[in-house]
This record gives sequence, C-alpha cells and structure tokens, in this order.
Amino acid sequence: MEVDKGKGEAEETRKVAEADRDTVTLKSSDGKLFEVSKEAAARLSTVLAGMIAGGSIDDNGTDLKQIGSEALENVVDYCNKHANSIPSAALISSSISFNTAPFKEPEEWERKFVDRLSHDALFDLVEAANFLGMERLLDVTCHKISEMMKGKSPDQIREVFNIKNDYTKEELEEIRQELAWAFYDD
Amino acid sequence: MATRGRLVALVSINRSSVQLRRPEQMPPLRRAPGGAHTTATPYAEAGRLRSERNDDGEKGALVSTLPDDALFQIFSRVRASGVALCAATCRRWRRVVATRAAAIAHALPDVGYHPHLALGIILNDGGARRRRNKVGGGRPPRFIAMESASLRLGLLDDGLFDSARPVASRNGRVVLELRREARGDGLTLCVCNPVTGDTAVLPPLAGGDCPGYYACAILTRDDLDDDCSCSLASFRLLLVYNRRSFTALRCYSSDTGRWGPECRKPGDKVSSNKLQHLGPAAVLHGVAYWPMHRAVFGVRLSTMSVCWVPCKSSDFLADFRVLGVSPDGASLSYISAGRTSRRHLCFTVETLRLPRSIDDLTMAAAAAHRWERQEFMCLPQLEIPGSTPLKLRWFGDKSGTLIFTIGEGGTSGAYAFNLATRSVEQLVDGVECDSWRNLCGYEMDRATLLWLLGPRSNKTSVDEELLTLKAIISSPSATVGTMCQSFTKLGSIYRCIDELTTLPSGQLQQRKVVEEELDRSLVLLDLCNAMQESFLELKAIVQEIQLVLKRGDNVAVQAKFQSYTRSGRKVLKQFKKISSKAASDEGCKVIKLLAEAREIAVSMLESTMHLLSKQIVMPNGSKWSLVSKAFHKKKIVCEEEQLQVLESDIVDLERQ
Repeated sequence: MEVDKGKGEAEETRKVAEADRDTVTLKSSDGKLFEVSKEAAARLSTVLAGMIAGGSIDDNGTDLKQIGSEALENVVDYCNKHANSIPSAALISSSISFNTAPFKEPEEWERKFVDRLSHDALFDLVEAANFLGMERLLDVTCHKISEMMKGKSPDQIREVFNIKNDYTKEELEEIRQELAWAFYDD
Repeated sequence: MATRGRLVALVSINRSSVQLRRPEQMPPLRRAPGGAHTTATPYAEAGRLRSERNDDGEKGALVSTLPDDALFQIFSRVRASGVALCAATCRRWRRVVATRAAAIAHALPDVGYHPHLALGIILNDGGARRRRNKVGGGRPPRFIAMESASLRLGLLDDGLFDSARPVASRNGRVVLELRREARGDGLTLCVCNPVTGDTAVLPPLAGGDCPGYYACAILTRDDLDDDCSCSLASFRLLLVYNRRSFTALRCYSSDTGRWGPECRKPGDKVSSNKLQHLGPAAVLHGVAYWPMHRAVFGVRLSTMSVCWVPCKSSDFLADFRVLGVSPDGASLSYISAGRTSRRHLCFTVETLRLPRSIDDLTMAAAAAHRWERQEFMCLPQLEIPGSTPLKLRWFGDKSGTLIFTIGEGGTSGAYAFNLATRSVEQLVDGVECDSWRNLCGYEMDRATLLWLLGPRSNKTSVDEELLTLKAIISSPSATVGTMCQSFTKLGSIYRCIDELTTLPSGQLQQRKVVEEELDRSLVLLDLCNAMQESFLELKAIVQEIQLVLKRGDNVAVQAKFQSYTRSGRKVLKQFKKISSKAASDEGCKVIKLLAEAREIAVSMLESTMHLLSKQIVMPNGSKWSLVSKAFHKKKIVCEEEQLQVLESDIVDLERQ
C-alpha cells in the first residue's frame, strides 16, 4: 500500500509540472499505476511508441486493461533495468529492424531477470510483452520458455506447463507414429 | 527483493480469491461494498484474461491462455523435433504449429541433415526419346517411395501432369516440365509441392523465348536473402540455356509472377553437350552451383552474376559427382563416387566454406585451395564391377540423401544413401541407368513436415461442418449451451478457412471479389464488436438483477428485467440492417466458404440474442439469472475467440 501511496504523490507533483514529462504513467487492469521513462518505453515497445507519438498517452495513467499489475510491474522493471544497463550498439540497431535480425542471446542481466520469475509470472510477462509489442522482452521470455522445453518428452512438457492432455488414446498413438522422427531425432 | 515479495503476495491473493469464489458461485460484486453502480460498468471486466483463468480453476494452467502469437514465438526457438513434441502435448499447440508451419520452419534455428525428410524419387520413364516434340498423352510421373518414408505421395495423377517430367527438386518443391500440346507451345514449367498440393504453373516461354536444352535450379524462401520482403511461400527459378552465340541465364520470381529478362552469361558459351548433363544444382547463400569440368559454376540470383570456383579433383566423370550443401549449411559439398580396390562403391565428400558474398571471380579462385576432404564412405554391400554404369542423380541437402542408379538389366537399381545415417536402400530395380533421364529425388521441407501435423483440412470437411452448424441453428431445440458450442465450432471453421487462404494454391486472382468479401467481413467484425458491447451491457444488468434479488426488492427486479429485454431488442435491430445484404455467387471456393461462414456467424449471433432474451423473460427467482450469467461469460469468451480468428483471417486476405 505504501508503494501505491508514493505513486499517488508522484502523480500529484507531476500534474503540477505538466509541461514536459519524461515519464509515462501506465495503469494495470486492477488500477495500479506505474511510471516508466518515456524514452525507454518508446524504444522498447512499439505499441507504447505509437501511443506516445499519437498523443494517446493519458497523464492520469494510460489504461492497459489487458495487463495485470504483476505483469506490468515486471514490464516496467524490465524497461528501467534496460534503461540503466548500457545498451550495446548491437541491441539498439537490432531493436530497429527486429523482424529480420536474428535472435541475440539474452544478456546476463536479462537472463537473471527472467530466471527469478515464477512460471505464471513468466507467462503473464510473455502475454504483456506480446500485447505491448516489446520484441526484445518477448524474445528473452520466449527464449527462457523454449529452454524449459528443450529435451523434454510431451509428457514432461505437459507436466512442467501443467497442460491438460486433450488427446484421446487413439490420437496419441497416431501422433506417436506420425512423429516417430521427432522422438528418435538426436 | 521487496518487489518480489509483493509479487508473490499478489499471486497468492489471486489464488485464494479463485478458491473462494468457485465453490460458492459467489459473484464478484459481493466484494465491492459500494454497490452496483461503481462496478457494473463494462470495465468491471477489465481483467478478463485473468478471470477466464480463474474460471478454469486450474493452478498454473496459464500457459494455455497464451495467445497464438506468443506460442509461435516460443515454438520458433526450439528445434524442429522439439516443435513436433510440443505439438504432441495438446490440440491447441498442434494447431498453432500446423497453421504457422511456414513461419516457424523459417525461424527454426537448427541445422544438420534430417533423414526423415526424404520421401523417395519422382521419375518419368515413359517416352524417353524425342519427348520434347511429342504430341499427345503420356504417363504422369511416378513416385517411388522409400521404405522409411513417413508418407506416400498419391498426387501427380492429375491430368495436368501427363508426360510431365521432373527437371529439378529442392526443399519440398518439384519443378515439372509440362507436356507440349503442339510444336510451337514453348516451355511450360510448373512448380509444385506434391505433399500439400500447392501448384504454380509458370507463364510459358514460347517463340523466341523458348530455350533448347536447359539446366534448372529452384530456390526457395530459405535460400533467399533475409532482407528480401517476399512471402514465405515464394520461390525463384533459374534457367541456364544456350542461344546461338552465348549462354543465357533467366530467372523467374514467384513474387512478380514473371520471367525476368534474359541475361547473357559473360565469357565463353557452355557447350550444349555439357549443358545437357549439368544435372541438379546445389544452392548456397542465394547462389546456384553446378559442377562443370574443372570448376563449379555459380550464378547469384539477386545480381545474375556468375562465378567459377575451381575444383580440387577435376578428373571425375560427370556422372560420378554431384554437388550438395554441408549439414551446417555453410559449405558447398562435392560428392564424388568411386570404387575401392575391392570394387566396392565408395563416396568421397569434400567441402568448401564459402563466404556469403561470393560474386567475385578472383575471390572464388582464391577460395579454391580450401577444399577440405571431409568424409570417405564405403558401401561394402554394393559391389560395382569396372564396366557397370553408375550415375549420381540427386542430392537432398535437407535430408542428406543421395540418389544414384547402378547398372543395366537385371542387376540394376535406383538407390538412396543417407550421408547422416549411412544407410542404403534400394528403391527400385531393373533401372536402365542410361535411359532413365528424368529422375529427381524428393524431400519435404520442414514447413511441410510441420504442416502435416495439422488437420488435413480440405474444403469438403469445412463444407460439411458448415452444414451441421446450419442444422443446429435452425433446429428448434437450440439452447444457449449448444450455441456456445457452435461458436467454438465456428471458430475452428474459420481457422480451417484461414489455412486454406494461406495456401498459395488458393491464389486469389479475383481481387475485386476478395475485396467485396473483405468489406462484408468487416461488417461482421463491426457486428461482433457491437455484440460484445451489448453482451457486456446485458451482463451488467444481470449483475444488477442479482444484487436486487438479494435485497428482495421486487419492483426493482421488474424494472431491471424490462431494461434487459429493452437492450436485447435494441441489439436485434442491428441484425435487420445486415440481413438485407446478399452474398455474391461468383468467386472462388475459398471466398464462397468465407461468405457462407459469415452468414452463419450472423445468424448464429442473431439466434443467440433471441435465445437470451427469451431466457430472461421467465423471472422465477435468482436461479435463472445466475445460469444466464454463466452463459454470458462463456459466450463472451467464444465471441472473443471468434473475433480474433476473424481478424487474422482478414489480415491474411489483405496480404494476398
């Protein structure tokens, strides 16, 4: 609660100095407010960049109804850390033409950032990154998830991600035959 | 650390609220002491995704709510076999893998030979001589499957392919030369994927454009530069042929749908005899390479420039060598056949690492001394006496499969040898090594392999499903529950149509028709939006009703019910506007399907509204409103799904 109060005060002072803000306020689905530097937001998220450019940023908190507060907190945390870590030239250039650039291995701090998350928080973050068009964050989180899948059998994957097996027995057998190559491939 | 603690706390709060709410069917309103007015706005549903999950009630089942886009991102980072295993975990993942097969395959990072991609050989041995001028029918090319192949191809029986001959095959595509009906017909080539059935008939090269003998190479999207903005299904075709005084190069691009201008190969003309025996090309970094007498001849597609890379061993006969690409996809492999002193067949693989930009002749020459001998493989099971003819036919650089033919008469055969597993397999015997000219190996590309995971959706099955849906809607016993199921079904139908539209076979030439249908789809999309809003509105009213019921205020209940029916009627009005528009009968099959699905969607929405408004007319206690509220929730989920599918559908259409 204290944190929120602090946020609220920050919001007040910001209203006074309304002229040139260098942060944007984001509002999660459950109404919590988060501040993130405008520069980092615009650089890391195509959606936020579009909103900033289009002037649809609300000073009282831009509503992001699809994102819960935990996920948004992680997003903001990531943006801030990203702004603090000296972005390598490669990273900046790759964020411009991300679709064509091959995936770059996550950096040490990014690895740590996703490693500390619980599964649920990680998936929430993937969703949030996907929604906000944050290519790099999506890359890093998806990389983490794909690492969790590597070398696992379908049963193990189901267990790790708690997926309900909705195949019938016959279908499973069929799949087993169809995918024989995948089961024996190196 | 502080943030982390808070995070954990938040998660646990969320969980406990889930567990609290479920067994008692407690409406969320109970937690808001302020009353209905503050929470009953549409935005009460803000955390929609979350509440959906809560309804699931399954702890940690969050991965199942990840959007398809995010799943796609994850899948494109595991290896091909990993993707297949993911597809084996649940239906939805399988669907995502299959519908985005091309994109996932393109993004997959893995390298190496995948023997399971090889399927067999395609050949046409009918009418071996003077075929080029032959008029009239002939046999279609045959497909001979490998023992180990995961599927058999039944295609190519199409009348289109009668006496067509395979001229090139790479990465899942086969180039076939179609029969010439008349002498002046010119050369008509056809590129097809025999597994998926995608076929593109290229504009014929007739008259002065018609080449004589030619060598052909096909380049698929994976071979092209990453920064080219072409679609994943696009390909390039390169022809090398002789004119009177020079050797010409010509390229076809599937993106423009046209043959490029004829280019003159710098330097001397290649002798026609050599040209005839060029055989299959290897493709590396956007350059097609053919083995020639003392050098490898390369043509870069993007610039149509030519390079020569001298070979280390130049004393091999044309039949005894074939070019390929190394498993890591970075080097050119020169595979040559020979005999050991014990007359066993053996293969030697030499590789040459080539830089990405090798336009320059001098650079290529400088690289020549770096040929490295990689492997020597002996096949003791195949004994080749000195006089036996041998011919290396084709090499598939995705599967590592080498196709070759040996001998004449009774002892002869066509064989497949895999460089990765070192296994040999006889595909067919009784081959006339010299007379079998038109033979290509066939291997799938990875996209096709992943595509195979999907339901083999064909148009008839979509048709049938649409019919059953129609029956459900018109049946008098329809309830809100069946409607919910129908919506899910409709969603899957849209997905099927979606797949159909992404297939290049549905090449939609009728732009106008497409755009008209697109407009109508937009209307449906608007309708979906409107419906969603009104559902939210209705839901808000239902919540209010529940609250009022709890208070036992009968008068207020009546008022609320009235407002419910009123807004229900308001929604129904919207349908009248739309129903007047009739669909056009022209257009291709896919468009018709789309139109049909759209009409059904509209009528489904309409009947759902009817049902809903009926349901609430019987105000006999809180039970009803609870039930219908649950239905609302479900429906909105369905709606949402459908909306997304529709949107992606429309995006796909726009792309074409």
